[in-house]
Amino acid sequence: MITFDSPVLLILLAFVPTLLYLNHLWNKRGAHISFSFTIWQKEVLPKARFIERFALFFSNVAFWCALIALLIAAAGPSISEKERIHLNRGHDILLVLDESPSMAAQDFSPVNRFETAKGVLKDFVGRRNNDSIGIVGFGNQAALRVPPTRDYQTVNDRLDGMKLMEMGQGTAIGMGIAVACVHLQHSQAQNKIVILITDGENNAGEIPPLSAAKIAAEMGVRVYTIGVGTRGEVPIELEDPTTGNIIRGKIESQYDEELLKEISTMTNGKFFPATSPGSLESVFNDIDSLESVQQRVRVDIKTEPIHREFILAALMLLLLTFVIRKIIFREVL
Amino acid sequence: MLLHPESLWLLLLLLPVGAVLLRNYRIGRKEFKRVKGRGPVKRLFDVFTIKWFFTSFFFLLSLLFIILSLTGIKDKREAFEELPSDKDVIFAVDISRSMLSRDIQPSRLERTSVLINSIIGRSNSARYGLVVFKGEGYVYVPVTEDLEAMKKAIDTISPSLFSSGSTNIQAGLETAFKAFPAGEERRKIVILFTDGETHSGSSTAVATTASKEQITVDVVGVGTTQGGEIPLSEDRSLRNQSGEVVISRLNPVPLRKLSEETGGAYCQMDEEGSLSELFACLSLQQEGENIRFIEQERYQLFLLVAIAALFISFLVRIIPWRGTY
Repeated sequence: MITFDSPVLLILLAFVPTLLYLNHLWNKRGAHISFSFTIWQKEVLPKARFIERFALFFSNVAFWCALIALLIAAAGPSISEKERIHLNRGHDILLVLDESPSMAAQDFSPVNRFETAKGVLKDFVGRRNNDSIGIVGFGNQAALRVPPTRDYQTVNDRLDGMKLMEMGQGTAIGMGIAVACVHLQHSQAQNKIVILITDGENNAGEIPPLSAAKIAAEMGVRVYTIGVGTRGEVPIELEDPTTGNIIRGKIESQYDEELLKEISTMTNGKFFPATSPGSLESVFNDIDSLESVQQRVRVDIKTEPIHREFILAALMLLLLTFVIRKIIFREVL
Repeated sequence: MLLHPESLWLLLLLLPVGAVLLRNYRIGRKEFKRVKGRGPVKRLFDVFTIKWFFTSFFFLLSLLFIILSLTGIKDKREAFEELPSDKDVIFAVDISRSMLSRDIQPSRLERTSVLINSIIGRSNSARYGLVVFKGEGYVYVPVTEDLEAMKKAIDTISPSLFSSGSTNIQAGLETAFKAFPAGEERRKIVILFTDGETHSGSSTAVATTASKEQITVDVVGVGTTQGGEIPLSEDRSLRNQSGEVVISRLNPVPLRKLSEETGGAYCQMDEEGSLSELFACLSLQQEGENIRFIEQERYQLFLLVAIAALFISFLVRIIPWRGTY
């Protein structure tokens, strides 16, 4: 939306039609000096060519546009944007994402489970506008990728940068939850949430998943667990980040549904199976609606002045008029 | 104070424009000479000269004022503001090689880490973020409440985090400004740690953004003015092409200017000052009300003069001159 600092000055625009009349239609206008043909000793003026008439017309249009742009600029135009200021505290959400090689299984189109999960997570991040979101990745070990933050740009950047197998081939579900809890311990948010995405059985890590779930439950962290993948044999293909070799093969896909269910019930969360990209998306829609709170919002107006653009445009147009009339046509007055 | 001093170059345009106007006057005079006869033609020529002079003069005047309005002449206005009690603090840390210099012990960078750690430890009502920069800036830790993540990250900052040339304080600060999450009512503070050996970037542009976004920039000058060598390894220091050891010195003048322009504090971290003195110096402590300078661009007056001049130049052209013939 465009607003003006001094809209009163826009009244000056009313002079433009008058000036237009004076310059182009008024019979007594004096831009030319008229004198009798008897003292003109040269040949009768030839009729102007089309291109000349066009250039003249164009220069006139440019001049009037320049004048209008100057008048608008003088009124102090600025673009104003509404900014929503959240007055209450949102959730703290840690996304715990499986980085084990089985996530490269190609049963999730277009690429694999991992890329699909990344895409869905990004959409999820885009929908949460007042929550701090962080990411933990886990393989043999677990590590924090982004601390819980409302700087969604950074969250998305780091999500893009995540690769499979950066922490070995294992699946340390317990470690993933535990690391997430460590990074939620200073959180003052009322609702602390962990969303665990995995496609395998727990087979690594020093902390067993149920102990981690117990810690989470004590801290009041709700854990939503999502088991991804179809049952049966699926092809996988991935690049080993340490050697750069391409690994291809087939794996027997299997996640531990009982364990995931138990973790979620212990922590007041919920378990969701996701067998396709579409169902993964709907899982996040569900979580979205489960974790929505009433938001108190104030709207601030932010303004960004744009007079400079108008002045620059006016200057260009004026110079264009000048070039056409005074340099090309050599108008003497 | 000019917001866009580079626009002054446009004034050079007035020269060719003036030259063309003058040339056209000559052409006009020649045409009049070709028209034979005296009396009315002579008077007409006078009218032409007068009209030409005024229309050209006011056209040039109009261009001049349009260009002046583009330079963004600004003045400062004082405004009281209520400071929100919640704070977002982003540490912008220079990780160029000169920060390894040991003119303060154990090194400029390590001393910086210690200070950041102690700030984090002391006030926990704030959220913190960490931006590291050299030639460009990088959000190392986004603004977060998670102190564990901050502490871990602080211990790992070193010049080898990423490779990029020179030191660009502007790039570092701009990265920091963008890292503040939008849509919350929190005070935004950037604490810049650098030895001030800036090699590229301009501080005026940064100050303008900071004041617009209501960001306070505190500057901590790290190092001593006597300076120190820049170690490359245990027993080797950086040398220039002629083989002399390069001495890196704290350059407080531009840093002080930067902090003044953004309404923040300038603190010096050298051997003498204690941590608590430094801590007291930072505007982090300040609560309640604050006076902020709001920069206002003055261009409307110039534009109005320009428009008036353009009108006159225009009217002189079209208004008929009565009574000359």
